[in-house]
Amino acid sequence: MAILEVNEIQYAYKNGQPVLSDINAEFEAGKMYAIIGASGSGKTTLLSLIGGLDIPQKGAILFERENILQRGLEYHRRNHVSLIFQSYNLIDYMTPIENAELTAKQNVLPILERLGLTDEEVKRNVMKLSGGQQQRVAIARALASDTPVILADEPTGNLDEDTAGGIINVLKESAHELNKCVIVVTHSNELATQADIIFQLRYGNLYTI
Amino acid sequence: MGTTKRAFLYVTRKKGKSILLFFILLVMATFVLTGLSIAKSSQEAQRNLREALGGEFQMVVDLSDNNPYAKKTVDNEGNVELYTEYPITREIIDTVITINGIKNYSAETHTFVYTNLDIFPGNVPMKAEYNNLIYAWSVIDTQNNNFFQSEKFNLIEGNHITENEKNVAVISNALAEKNGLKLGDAISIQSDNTATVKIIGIYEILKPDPMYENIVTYEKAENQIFIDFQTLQNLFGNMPAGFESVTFDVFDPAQLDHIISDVKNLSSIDWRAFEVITNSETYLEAAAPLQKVQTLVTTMIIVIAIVSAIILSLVLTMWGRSRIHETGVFLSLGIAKVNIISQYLTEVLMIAVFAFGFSYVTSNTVANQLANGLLQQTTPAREEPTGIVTQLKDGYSSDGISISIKDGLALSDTPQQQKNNVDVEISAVETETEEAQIHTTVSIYNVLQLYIIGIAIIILSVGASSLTIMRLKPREILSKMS
Repeated sequence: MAILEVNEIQYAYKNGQPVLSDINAEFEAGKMYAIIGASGSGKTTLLSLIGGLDIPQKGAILFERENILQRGLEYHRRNHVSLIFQSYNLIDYMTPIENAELTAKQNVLPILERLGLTDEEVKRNVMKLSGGQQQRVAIARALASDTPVILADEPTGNLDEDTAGGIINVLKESAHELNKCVIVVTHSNELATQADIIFQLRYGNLYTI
Repeated sequence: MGTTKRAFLYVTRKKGKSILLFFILLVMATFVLTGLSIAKSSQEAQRNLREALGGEFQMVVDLSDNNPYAKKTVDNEGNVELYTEYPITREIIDTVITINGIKNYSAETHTFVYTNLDIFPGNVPMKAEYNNLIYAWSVIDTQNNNFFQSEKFNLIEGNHITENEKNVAVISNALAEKNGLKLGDAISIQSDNTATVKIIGIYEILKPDPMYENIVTYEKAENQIFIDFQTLQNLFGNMPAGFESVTFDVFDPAQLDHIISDVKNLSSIDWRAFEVITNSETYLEAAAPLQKVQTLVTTMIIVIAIVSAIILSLVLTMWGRSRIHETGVFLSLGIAKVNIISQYLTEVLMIAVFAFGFSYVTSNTVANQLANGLLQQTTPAREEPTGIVTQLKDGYSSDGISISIKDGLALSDTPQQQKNNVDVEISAVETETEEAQIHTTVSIYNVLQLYIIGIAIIILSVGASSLTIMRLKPREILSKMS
């Protein structure tokens, strides 16, 4: 059964240029989805709409069959989805533990350890970690918030191949072992091929590959 | 993670910004607290000054045509006598003093009397029949009488005449000496009737009549006799005895108009027969600089508060732009906007608690200097009396000539004499009016006021600085930061 549904959503930029037209999709828990497409095709826009960062001009996004506007986008972001960004978006004056604790609903230390951060690293200022480590902290924050959906926007975009591989595995594990619905927007073919289902966004429409 | 913990982490980890904000708040708090303490001290100084100077109003018998009770008689020699059939009686005084705010009163009336005394003659020639006339001052009590209050006379023996005493008198030591009188002796006073009174007090004259000035016998200081009200009644016989004037002292001169208004509303007194003369000039003159300080300080506090709010808003807005990334992240995590603003507010408040507390020390240092500076600027300059040296160093005046001042006279020695033997004696230089002074100390009450004003300024500033960011959608913030 779909945990998240995208129903006929349309979106245009402020200048009137349409970017998404009548998008329909369903996402299930325990699966990893990849959304690929050319630059400017609207991947990040679609992810933002699913993540409740913006509102479509037409159509609706349903979480467990309820329109996310029903309880408000803030509620949706806090309880249904967790976002992971290419630029990690960590709070620079906090340690990994503190970053992960921001919206945590569970103990963050085991999660950080499972993601490969040492005892010393979890207490260091987050800006003093490598890019890969910072992305792991971002994933830890998403996992600690215990939301059913994880949305990742180019999560390996700034990482080298080896590190990216590690991050892809973590995301896959999150879907398959933790029963999360993981939706990844990516340019990376390697990452896309690891997904259970791949969507391609082209000319404002979404196609299953 | 809660708001307070996030705020605490920001304040402790961003030390540079926290220290800078601490100093901005410290300066702001110092000025506000200084202003508040000066304002409070100024109010206190005004109250003290009012209490010290007091105020008074006089109720006097109106002998003009406006008074329907005023009478005029002319004797065979053309001497005119004015009097009233409705004088100020004890009953009237007792009614007036029921009004709140009246501290005490001094009633007097003077009348010409003959005595069995050998008096001091004046230097103005008069008809023989008037040569032995003197003034008898009928009072309720001598202690509050103007002659004694102004320290022209000073009681040196016996007691003052007090309320309800009968057939008693207070005379000058000169008159007592001339007539070989002492306390307990009796003297005879004559007007319409004759009365015998016992001397219960003897006064000395501290401010004698000016030399070489024309003065009639009955006005000479040595000849003044004070008697009680009952004796006056006895001297007048069947005529209604009363006082010509009563001076009422009030606690607070600022309330003088209000008190007089209450007095004039007393329906049991026929006010056509009396005039009321107010005197709050001394207070108004002394209080004027303090009132100016009060106005100046109130304006200063308002200006400081507004300027502080603007500066703080600008600084926080500037810093807010650098925190747009953080705000976007919080919003993307589903943290409510109110929660985010609360964090920013808590951060400033955490620093403010220390800055406001420390401003207690800095304000105490600044306040006294500023208060006296303001007072000097608002007090009109006074001319120093000629021949009076107000500042001396090591017994020498600044111009190198030693000064000996006695009774207001300055005597100069030569520099040589000065080296040999110089004793500088300075008599007390009396100021005729009280000096307005502000002694400023920052009180806990002022600190509480600071916290209230300071928190209001901070809430306004944080609110204003957060407006721009909070109007944006999370996606706009995230796209701005990327």
